[in-house]
Amino acid sequence: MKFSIMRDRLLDGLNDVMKAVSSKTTIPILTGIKIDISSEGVTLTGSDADITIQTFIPVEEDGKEIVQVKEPGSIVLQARMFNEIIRKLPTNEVVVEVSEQLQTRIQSGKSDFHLIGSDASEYPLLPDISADRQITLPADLLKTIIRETVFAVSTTESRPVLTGVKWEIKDNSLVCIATDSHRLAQRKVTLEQLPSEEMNVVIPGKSLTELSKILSDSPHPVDIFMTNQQVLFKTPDVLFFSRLLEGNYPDTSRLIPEESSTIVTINGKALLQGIDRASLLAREDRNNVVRFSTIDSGTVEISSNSPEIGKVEEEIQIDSFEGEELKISFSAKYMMDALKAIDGQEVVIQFTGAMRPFTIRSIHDDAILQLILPVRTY
Amino acid sequence: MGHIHIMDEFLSNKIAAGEVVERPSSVVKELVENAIDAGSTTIEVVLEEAGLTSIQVIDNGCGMDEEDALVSFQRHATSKINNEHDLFRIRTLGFRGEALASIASVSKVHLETSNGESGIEVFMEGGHIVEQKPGPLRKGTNLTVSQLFFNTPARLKYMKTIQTELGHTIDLMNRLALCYPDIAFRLAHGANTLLKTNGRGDVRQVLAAIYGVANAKKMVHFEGQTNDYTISGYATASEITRASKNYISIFVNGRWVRHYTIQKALIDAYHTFLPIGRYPIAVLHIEGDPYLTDVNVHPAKQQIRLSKEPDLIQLIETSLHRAIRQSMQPPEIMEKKKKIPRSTEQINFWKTVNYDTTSLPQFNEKPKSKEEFFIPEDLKGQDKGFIVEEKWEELKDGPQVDMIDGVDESAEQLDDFNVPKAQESQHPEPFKEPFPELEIVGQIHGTYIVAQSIDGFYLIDQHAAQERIKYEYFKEKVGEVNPDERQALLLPLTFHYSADEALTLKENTKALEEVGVYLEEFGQNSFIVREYPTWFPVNMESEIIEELIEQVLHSRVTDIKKLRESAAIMMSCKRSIKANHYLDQPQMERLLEDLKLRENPFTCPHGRPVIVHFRTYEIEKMFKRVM
Ligand SMILES: Nc1ncnc2c1ncn2[C@@H]1O[C@H](COP(=O)(O)OP(=O)(O)O)[C@@H](O)[C@H]1O
Ligand SMILES: [Mg+2]
Repeated sequence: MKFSIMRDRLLDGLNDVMKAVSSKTTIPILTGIKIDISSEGVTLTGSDADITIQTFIPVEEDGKEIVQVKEPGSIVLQARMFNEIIRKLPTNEVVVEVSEQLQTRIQSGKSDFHLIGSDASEYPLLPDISADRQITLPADLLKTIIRETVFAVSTTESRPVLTGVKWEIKDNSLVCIATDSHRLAQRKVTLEQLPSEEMNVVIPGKSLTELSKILSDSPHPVDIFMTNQQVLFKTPDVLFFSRLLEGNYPDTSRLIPEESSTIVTINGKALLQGIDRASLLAREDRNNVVRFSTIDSGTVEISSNSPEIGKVEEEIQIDSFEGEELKISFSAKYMMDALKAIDGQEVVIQFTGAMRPFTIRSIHDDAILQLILPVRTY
Repeated sequence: MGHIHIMDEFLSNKIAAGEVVERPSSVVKELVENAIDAGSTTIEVVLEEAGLTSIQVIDNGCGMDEEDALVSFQRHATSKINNEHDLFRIRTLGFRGEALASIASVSKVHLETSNGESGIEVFMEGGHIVEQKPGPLRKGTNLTVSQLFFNTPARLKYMKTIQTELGHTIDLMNRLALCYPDIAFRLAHGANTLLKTNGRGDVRQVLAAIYGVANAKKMVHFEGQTNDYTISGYATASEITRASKNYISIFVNGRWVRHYTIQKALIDAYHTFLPIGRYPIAVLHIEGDPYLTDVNVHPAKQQIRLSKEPDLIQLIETSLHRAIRQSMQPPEIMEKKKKIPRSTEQINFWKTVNYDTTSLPQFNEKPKSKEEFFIPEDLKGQDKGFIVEEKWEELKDGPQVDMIDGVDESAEQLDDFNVPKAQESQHPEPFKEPFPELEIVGQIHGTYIVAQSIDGFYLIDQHAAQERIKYEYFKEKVGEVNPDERQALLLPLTFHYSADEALTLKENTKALEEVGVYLEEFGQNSFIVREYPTWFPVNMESEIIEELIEQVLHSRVTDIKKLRESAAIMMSCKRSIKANHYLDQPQMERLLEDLKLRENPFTCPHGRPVIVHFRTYEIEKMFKRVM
């Protein structure tokens, strides 16, 4: 096996696949990156068993020659080491050559590395995903959906299925739901072409976070394929595979209140900043509880009072008010997370009394819904 | 007809034997208890092959006359109880009158007894008298049981190894010796003396004979009184612990008992000072009106029911806790074996050495170290004394050490030891060991802080130190936080338990509610929790609730204070800095400053040490600056 490649392009590819490589893996070969050379170009693969990322570097890109293939072949090289070496090479042209005994020579300018690789046939095969259950979303929309939901997944393993985001495809739309039981984030997207059957998968939050780092902010389409165990996100040059979470995701539809007794429309930014300030005096060891009280149907008072720290009060103008006056307590953090996830200035908050969950939506777009459980005081 | 008949007496004795005589140690127990009941002041037990070949018990008690000696082997023959009223006022150890009959039915017995006026010798086999004749006039009883279970091969088959059987008897004799410090006991296995006590009435000397002088020295004394009970005991300070509860002995009115709640009170008295899974060495004597103590629960007489138990439990826990607190000090690095200088010359050298010129100036040795090596006048230059001392060092825990001679002398030396005694302390307030004034030298391995003071240097485990600080913080906070402020959950947490656990939980929902955890029954043996107090750290709610439920289930803790304590321990551990974390000078200073203000800065909430002291003197010894 022998090829030469432009260092900067190789680094871009490595940058993507390195996101899947973990030093903590128990499978030794997965600490490496698999490199496959064919006449079309270079394929790099990294995996931590949960996530697998494959990227392809074509021989020619935008009319420029990037790779020169001298002899096809495959090798697995120690990921961290290989990445560091490539990063620090002195010139932009790199020659990689594997002789017998997995001896790998990396040359650039006057530097000459000899690495011992591993047999590529020992590297796990990619999951086999057939094309029948497929949807397509623009990359930037996919990124937004992830941002709006993934923060709400649970970070404890006590209920593993809650560490993922549920993707449900039904009635010509995709609904993404995440909850850690303290709050819930939900995003609806209307789909243009529907897959052959309904789908319902739970994608690990961590996978989605990594995926969104790789996606570009362009409207380029991403094809999404699903099986019962795996999901694949496919862009022209990257394949991103993730394991799916097993277990039944709880039915949250009936948990979202349909009626409300108090409806407040308010500037989301102003509210976010007010809560941010109030939380400065909220005790961390009490989940940063702040109090939200409506006054004379015209303003909201955000306050926090910890006897041993001090207290803060702040008033914010309400745009419109409907229903009963209300005093409610909640975690400042959950409220801030929710407000940050909602783009757009005006938000509508719907309450059903101080003891019940309440929802936050954008006034312009009801595709996104945030739900928060209050702190009850007796 | 005619199938029903009164059971043959020998048969019924053999059946009773199954209940009372389980193994050699049960025979020893019955015989030694009889000797105790007979008012003996010395009792000697000699075993051959762990008692399977023979068990001989020699006492100097009241003995029996010819008539009593023969009657004593009949079932329900007892001199100790006359009517039903007596059964409620039992003072003696035996009272069922079935031990001798049972033992005799499954062995060969040779009895020699005399009340000082007449003497008799009886030989028995399987409960039948085979020979009787006048015996020697020495007052007391000498009873030998040989070939135990010779006629019940099934039982014999169940006997474990010699080691196991011997272990049971040693354990028993240790307990009896602790229970009766004024009786001189000796236990021998063949030619080996396994235990010897002096019968001078000092429990600490018995403790020394069993667990070694070093451990006995480190034990604290505690005592107290309720209207109904008087308690007195010794227990190790937290640095000496054992992996089993077997080193805890509880005696009620001179009877060794197993009592779960009392044992638990002794352990609970340590609060957070005991490492997890470690237990103290402890003896506790409880005296009270026999009317309040119901021992007639099982023939082996080890179970007991106590009236007015809660007060007693409270007393035990608080008095031991106070004693432990008073003894709290940072553990010190000492050379393992303190050797006493062997020649007079060296002793003179000790007495004339000038510390000020041989030590580093900042590590000035206090003259008090001379006292540490003070040698009693009468031992100077006497080899005998030194040998005794070394023997004591070897004693450690194992009771199997031969200590035939010198025991008495050594035990007396205990009087010289400065033992912390709770009741002696004149402090009206709970005593607080002063935290040393420390100057920080640096940090090592990102884990320990090194600090010095006038009397040596100290290593402080930063994680343990912070755990202690946080623990005391949380303990206070948990107490003051409003359990009525609760974070609601979208999806309730579910907990499943076994049927009996679920039952216990249902009975104790109140206790959990007091810490803000509301269990709702949810189908068969399951519970749900819909909200949790906001003082639980986020993401730990289910762990903490589970732990609190565990506490209620397994240690039957239903006391809010204790539930809060365990929640505080968990929280402090989770939120503390771990090892391998670099701290700068101000951070270290802050840590030590905070630590100093703690109620107990010396152990972490799990009982591990926070700070270890390396004494100047020991360091000098390591470098042979002093010898
Ligand atoms: N070592 C002894 N010294 C004096 N009397 C004894 C001794 N051992 C047994 N006896 C007498 O024998 C009786 C029967 O003993 P035992 O069968 O153990 O019954 P218990 O101890 O329950 O009375 C005792 O009540 C006591 O009078
Ligand atoms: Mg008896």
